[in-house]
Parts: sequence; structure tokens; C-alpha cells
Amino acid sequence: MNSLIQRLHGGLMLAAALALLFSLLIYLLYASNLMAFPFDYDQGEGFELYDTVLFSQAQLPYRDTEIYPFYASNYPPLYHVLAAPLVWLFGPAYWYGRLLSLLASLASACAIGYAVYRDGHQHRLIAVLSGLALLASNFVYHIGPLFRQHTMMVAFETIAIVTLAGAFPRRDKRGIAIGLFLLICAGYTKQLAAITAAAAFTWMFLRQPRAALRWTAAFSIFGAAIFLWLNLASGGHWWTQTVVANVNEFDPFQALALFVLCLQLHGFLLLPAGALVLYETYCDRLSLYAVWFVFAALLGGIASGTWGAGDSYFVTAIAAICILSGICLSRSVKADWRVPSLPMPARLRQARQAFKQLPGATWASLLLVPLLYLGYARATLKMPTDGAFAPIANLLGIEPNTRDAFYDSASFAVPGYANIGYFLTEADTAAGWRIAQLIKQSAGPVLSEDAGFAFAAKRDIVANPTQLRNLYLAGLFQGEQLIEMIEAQKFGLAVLRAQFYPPPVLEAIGRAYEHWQSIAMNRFDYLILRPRVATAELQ
Amino acid sequence: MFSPEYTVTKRQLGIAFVVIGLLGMLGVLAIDIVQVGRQGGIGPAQAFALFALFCLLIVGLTLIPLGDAPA
Repeated sequence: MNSLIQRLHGGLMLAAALALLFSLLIYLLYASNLMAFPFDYDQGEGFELYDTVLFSQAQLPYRDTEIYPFYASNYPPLYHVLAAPLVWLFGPAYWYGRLLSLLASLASACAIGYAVYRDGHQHRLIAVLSGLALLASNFVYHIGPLFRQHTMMVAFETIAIVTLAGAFPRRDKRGIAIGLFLLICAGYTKQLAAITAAAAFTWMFLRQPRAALRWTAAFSIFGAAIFLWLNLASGGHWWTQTVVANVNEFDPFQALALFVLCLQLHGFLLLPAGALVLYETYCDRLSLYAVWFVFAALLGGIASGTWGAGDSYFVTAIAAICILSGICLSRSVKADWRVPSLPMPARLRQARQAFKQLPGATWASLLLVPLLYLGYARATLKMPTDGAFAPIANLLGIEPNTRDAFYDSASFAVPGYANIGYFLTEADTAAGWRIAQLIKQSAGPVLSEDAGFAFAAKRDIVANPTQLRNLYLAGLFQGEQLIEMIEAQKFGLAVLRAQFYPPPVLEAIGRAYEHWQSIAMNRFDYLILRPRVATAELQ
Repeated sequence: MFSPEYTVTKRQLGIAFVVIGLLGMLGVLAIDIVQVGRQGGIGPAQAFALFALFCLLIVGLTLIPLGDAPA
């Protein structure tokens, strides 16, 4: 019986590994497809590229948005600083930022695998499956290889947490310092890492309050010094652009919808992860992973309901889920559970003892572990349904359910879920070059909601629409000079994708410019607007 | 608490959860008192916060009996 169960376990584990490796293959193909695309795939990528260009020129992107080119960034600098040397080597381009993000996601997966291996009885295959599980998540998949700083933040967070979880209980000062330094790196990659920092300090305080307070003081001084330097160097714009302008309106229904979606997609791993958190809460000491998971899921999940946020805000929690579930399942396979002796009736005590001696409990674990990973692989399935993938799609019985020729188990129906992930075609690239060509043929700078076209046409990058919107809503952007320039038709063209500019800017565009043509790229209709006077002259 | 060996216990963690839960719930409800004239009563975000804080309170209450076990 034992060997039959073991063989079945081995076969199912292999199937789970193959299913998650298939997910990895789709992820890598998607990443390579994106890297070949020279324009914005996700709105905002181009502005992150521009931040990188500015850093490569030793300039800060935290600026006065009332004067030309009306540009400022709302993101901390580290990701762009890391990518800046690549601007010196290759000029402004999207591929290296996307490659950096892809590598960061792979680093997170490796850190997860290492944590599960180290803290979960050295079970190699479960450790590998845990790492692969991160990359299989729909939320990780579509943001993973973008020119966005989020994935890099998650990598710093994950490596920091894994480092601290090992170093702090052993009072390994070097390890703790490295872990905390990585947390600072995460915070200066994206502000959301503050949640992970809070989780880490809470856990350290629970373990050794005195050491935690000492380390917190050192960490705070170091972090605050960088903050003050950036604020001084930018003439106070760092504070306005990265802190004040980042307070956006909250939509509780978006947060709730994303919570439900996260549960649907990751439920198979959430179950063992939640079980381990409960076990540690009542029967063992709380691990850093458990505290991290609670903080990231709760606070990150709530933050996902703010304007401009979305499913990516769950990625940190998903990393924690992958570690916790991996450790829980490794412990289950090894039957490593200690239940404290609580006062209970004699019959119940006898029943518990009898259950502990049942071989069936271990057998059940051996079968349950791969089945959970298989269920997770199916729940998070996303893939193209055409070309070489058509036979596999037919075999799996799936049809395109999002944009043409792409299946996503999450569908695109949930508010806040990033509606991307499908592969780009040559027609998309051609459409991008057509827009860039129109810009080249126009006179003067252009207002474009995607920076990629202006990069391709070698024009100034003017205005960051979402940042201007945030500043406007916070009462920090008047836009008089920008509106004057629009009304004087100083811009050769305006290229709109989602009309993110503040209402007075959009109204000015509407008064001075008119729709010329629409060009579809990346499944979006880009509206090309030209000056009204120019139209009259043409007629 | 200032001994290097000191560690927080399940009971202390439970008490902290109960205090945070209670104060938090009062704070969430107080929003309607402080912001007089605010429309709509308890909104969905408040309801969500109340639910989360109530759960925290319950977890806190169940941790207190676990005594001096390290948290």
C-alpha cells in the first residue's frame, strides 16, 4: 500500500510540476513578446522609462509641474537608478526595463523556493513548486515583465523577509542588517513596501522587543536620511510628488472584487497557507511569513481599491502565500505537527491519539499536496489559444474569453484587474510606428498619454497625465501654462488613450484640437487630435 | 521587557488585539460623530473596517487563555 501511494504521489507531483512549468513557459513567451515591442504595453511604462532617462542624466524626476515640460514622477528612484546604466549603453528602450522586471520576478520565485526548502524540511520538489506557483499567478503574470517598478519591489521584499526570517531568531547581526537594507531598497523602489516593513518590525517586536526597537531606530534614521536628502535635492517636490499626490480616492467595491478574485485564483494555496497561520497562532510561534501574509493581504488588499491601484497590490501577499503553503505542505508530508495538550475529555484524547497513529493521515497528505498544486495550476491557467497553442487549448477545452486568441481564467470582468497579458502582434508594432510617424511629421512638441511615441519620434516627453490628475485632485496643479500652450496650439498633436489628464486640460484640448484619426494598437484606440486651425487651413 | 531574552506572550498579544479591536471599532464609529453632516451613515469601507476589527477582537479573546506561551 505504501509503495502504491508513494508511486501515485510521485506521478501526481510530476504532473503538478509539468502543469506549473507550462505556466512558466507561457510567462517567458509573454515576456519575450513584450520585450520585442518598442512602445507602451501598460500605460505608464513610458513614463518610467523617462524617469530612467532622467536618472541616467543625473536629474531627478520630482519637479515643478506648472512649467514646461509639466513632468513629474510619483515613484521612488531605485528601480530607475538600477536601469539607468542601460540607458548609457542602449539609449531609451523598453526591453531592458522589462528584462529587469522579469529577472526580479524570477529572483522572488527563487527566494520563495529557498525559504520553503530551508524552513520546510528540505523538501526539494515542494520548494520548486512553491517558487513556480508565484510565477503562475495571474496577478504576477501580467505585471511581471512590465517596465514597472512593482516586481522589483516584491523581489526586494521577498528576499528581505526570507533573510530576516533566518537571521533575526539567530541574532545574526549581518543577516539582520542585510534584511533591513533590502527593506529600505524595497521602500525606495515603491512606497507600498511600507506594509512589508511594518510586518517585519511587528514580528521582530513580538520575538525580541528590545532588539526590534534598536534595529527600528537605526533603520528609521537611515531611511529618513535618504528621504530628507531627496526632498532637499528636489526642492521639496519629492514630498509633493511621491507622497501627497499618491493619496487617491478609494473604491471599496474594487477592493472587495479583487479580494474575491484573489481567493478564487489562489484558493488552492490559500487553504494550506491559512491553515499554517492558524496553527502558528494557536499552537506554535508566529513566523515572519505569517505576519507578513496577514499585513500584505489585509493592507495591500485594501490599498488595491484606490484609484490607479489594482490586482498587483496582492502580489506581495501571493509571495507570502506561496511560502506558507509550501512550508505547510512540506510539514504535512513529514507529519511534523505538534498539538499542545489542552484539557479535553478522555474520549476525545483517545480519538486524537488514534488519529495520529493512522497511516492514512500521511497518505492523504501525500495525495493532497500534488492535487492542490494541480488545482492551483488549473485555477490560474492563462494562455494564447491560437497558433501552436490551439491544439493544447482544444485539449484543455478552453476558448478565448478576454481579447481575441487569449484565455485568462480570471477573465477581464473584475474592476481593478489589469486587462493585459495577451500577446502582441506585428500589427501592433506597425500601428505604434504609424503614430510615431504622425508625430514626426507634426511641428513642435506633442501631448501624448503614452511616452513611447514621443521617444520613437525623438520629441520631448511632455506631462505625465495621471500624475497631473492626482495633483489636480489634491489641489496642487493649476496648469495655467499648460492650458495656455494648448489653447495657443503649441503642440503639434495630442495622442489620447484613456483621457487621464485633469478635466481643465482635457477641456482645453477639446476646445483647441479636434479628432483627426483613431489608430488601434495593443487593443486600444488611440485618438490622434490635431489643431483645429490646421484643419481649417487644410480645407 | 528590556531584557534581551524577553518575548511577547500569547496572552499579551491577545490583550493587544482586544484593545486595538475595541479602540478601532470605536474610532470607525466615531467618524460619523466627528464628521457631522456626512451623508449615508456607515459606508462600505467603514463596514469592512468594523468587520476586520471585530475579527481581530475575537482572535484576541481566544489568545488570552493561551497564557505565557511565546507569541
